[in-house]
Amino acid sequence: MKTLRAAVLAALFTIGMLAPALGQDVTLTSRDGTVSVSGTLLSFDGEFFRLDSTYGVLTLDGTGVTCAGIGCPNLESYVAEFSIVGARSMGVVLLPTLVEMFAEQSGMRVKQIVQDDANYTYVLRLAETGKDVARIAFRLSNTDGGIAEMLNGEADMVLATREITASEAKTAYKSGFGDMKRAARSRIVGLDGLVPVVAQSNPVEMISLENLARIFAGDITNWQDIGGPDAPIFLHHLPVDTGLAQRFETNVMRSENRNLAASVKRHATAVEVVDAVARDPFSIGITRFSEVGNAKMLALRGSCGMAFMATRRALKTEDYPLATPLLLYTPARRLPKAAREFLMFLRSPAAQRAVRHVGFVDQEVTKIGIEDQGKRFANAIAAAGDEVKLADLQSMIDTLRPASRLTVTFRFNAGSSSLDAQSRANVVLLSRLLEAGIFDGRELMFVGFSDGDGPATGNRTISKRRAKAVRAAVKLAATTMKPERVKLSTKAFGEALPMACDDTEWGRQVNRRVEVWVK
Amino acid sequence: MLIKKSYKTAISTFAIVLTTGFVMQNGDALASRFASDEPQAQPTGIAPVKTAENLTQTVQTLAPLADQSGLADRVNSTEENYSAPKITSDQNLSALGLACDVTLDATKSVGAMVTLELKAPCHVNETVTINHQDLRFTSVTSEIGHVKVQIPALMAAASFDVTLVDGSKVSASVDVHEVSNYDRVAVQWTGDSGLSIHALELGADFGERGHVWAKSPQTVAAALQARGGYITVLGDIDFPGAKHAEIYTYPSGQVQKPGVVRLSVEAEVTAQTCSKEIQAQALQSGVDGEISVSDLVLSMPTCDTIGDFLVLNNLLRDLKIAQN
Repeated sequence: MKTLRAAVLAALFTIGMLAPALGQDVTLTSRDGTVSVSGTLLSFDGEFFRLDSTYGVLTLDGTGVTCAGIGCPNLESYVAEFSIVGARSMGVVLLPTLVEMFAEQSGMRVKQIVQDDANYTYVLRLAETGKDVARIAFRLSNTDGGIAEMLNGEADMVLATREITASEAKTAYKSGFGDMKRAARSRIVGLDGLVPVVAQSNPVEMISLENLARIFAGDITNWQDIGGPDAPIFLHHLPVDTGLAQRFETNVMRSENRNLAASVKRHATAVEVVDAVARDPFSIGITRFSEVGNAKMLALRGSCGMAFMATRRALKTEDYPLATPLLLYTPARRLPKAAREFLMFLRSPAAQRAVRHVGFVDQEVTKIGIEDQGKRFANAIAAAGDEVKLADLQSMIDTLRPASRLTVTFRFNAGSSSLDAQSRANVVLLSRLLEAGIFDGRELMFVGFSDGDGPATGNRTISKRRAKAVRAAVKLAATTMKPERVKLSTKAFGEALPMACDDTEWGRQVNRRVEVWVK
Repeated sequence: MLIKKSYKTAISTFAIVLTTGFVMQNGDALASRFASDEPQAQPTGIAPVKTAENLTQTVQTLAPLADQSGLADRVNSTEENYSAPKITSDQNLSALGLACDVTLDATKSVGAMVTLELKAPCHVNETVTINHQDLRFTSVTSEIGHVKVQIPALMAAASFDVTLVDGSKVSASVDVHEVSNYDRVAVQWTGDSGLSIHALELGADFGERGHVWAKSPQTVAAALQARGGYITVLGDIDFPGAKHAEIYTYPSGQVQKPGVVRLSVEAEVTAQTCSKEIQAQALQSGVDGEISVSDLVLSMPTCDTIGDFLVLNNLLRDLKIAQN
């Protein structure tokens, strides 16, 4: 009998010494009986053995070996166990629906063992044999709490309604959980957005972000000041320390240099916010697009008159300024097979259908015909003048008229040339479509736009540079794409097609973008 | 979430009922709601039985009777020249001389409800298990072996079957295409778990109009007039293995106003359920629009919380009613 050389096995192994050592001796032998290796079994995930052998720590594919010795796991009774923690807004409806859909697609039945609304376990079992396959423990709190659990080594998947911060990522890296800023450590499950709501009977239909900040700071206290009745304004907000509340405080309050008023009533969930607001015509609340209940969403208006309503499409394109990607982080360690299959499932069309079904926004790429963009072109004509000439608009229309815009749009972090989280996911999304040949025989135009700050010619140069950078990133990600089958071009129109007013930072951020058009 | 007494006004009225077996009380509520359309329905815990017509059809000599107690004795005493049929096993007749054939009829009634009628003359006072898709509950036959019950249809091609104590099974089906006008969710359980669905319709609060639950169940008639949804309680007998179901129906095809109906499930912590696990199932609309079933195990709080309610807001997804 030959013994395996360490070098051969090194190619198979992964590092990640987090599971407790079982400390029992096993011998793994190849199916043909020609090679074997002995050692202490560290863990078994239903698929791979991790073994502390004389060659060091090895990970071996369980399908290729037989196990002998007192430490061998019972392959028949193995049940994968993993935990999902973090943001309650994602964990109460969205993830359970996805787990149920995943089970159904995999020929499994689910049983939910419930302690309360935030703590429950899904048991997945094969419909045919009744054998348990996986136990998924849900412990819901908020994004902060979920990340803290991961840093304590107690979580396999973290639900987050905001991106991980630099300091959290640093701690995670030091603790051996890997680089959480890398694409492999996070994925977008669905999209959502922050929306202001009022009661159906409140006559107000839209509000500027500036006034929203003033209202929540307690500087505007009467509806009269924003075109409503002469009545006091009551404020309702999401729970403290949730990712969504933090997003509101950063992107709306802090960017207007204001702090939340003491009179803001915090609720335990978005459901409580909207139920309180729906019952009181003088209340205003902050909630998420996926939970508006019986209240009425307000459109966001810029000072130059352009308004945005949170719609599925506006959240997909990030044309709505307060879109929020719903993230799922995984620490760098081998997850059980069932967990990895679940993560794969999250990218499938079936998962996107489930996301849509429960009122969240999916990531399916759809086309927007030019006939559905009348308002944008009206804005462009209204904003044209000294810097953007009629000829510029005509040239833009000539280019775009034979094409359709895709919902995939690329935007940049504030004050930086790096893509934001949703756009980074869009790079992967678009590259997969290219690899699948969806656009074969067509031309994909990466069309850069800028804000209106500075001279128009400079803006056109910047927007061209951004379009090229995004195209390069997509090409790099689409490794198996056949370049001869689809033409990838870049165009740039600078400030010619503004989406929002340029007099605020958020407006400029909405305007700085690379759109993708197909023809 | 564990809460103390939940409902501002309703709870004081019904707390006693809740602790002493509310299923029987719901039998009353159910029967009285159908009383106007269905004069034969019996307001008892036992399933309503159609008496007069059946008997006169089958045994011409019988007069209509309102009360079935001691039926055989009274039949003997009131009929001159009556000789009770000789019952031998090979004749396959009931004690009343009725053929032992078991029949099941499913008839559509208003509001996408189905009237299910079992006639099993040789199975009197027996428990039967009634199935409709994944819905399942226990009923008991009357003294002439009948069961009649109103069931909310869960799909257009509605099939029903009834399993008798001896394991024999009868089936019936009916087309109820109106089902698409209604949203339906259900919870079902075995034994004395005391689960109940609470629906808060279009912004209603607990204890207000629009708070629909077993103690304020509302009616099919109100739903037909687009005034809101209703609760149907199925399973009319209490013994440890008896199966119960509660269904909430919202007439989304009738109500023109868009909005959200909040759904929660409550389980009372009782001496029987505290620190135990309750097995239950939830039935609700899946991604494909069909009703799907999921198994639930509720870990009940400890026995020092008897009298409190375990309130679960996420077992049933809220109904989102789109503008038609």
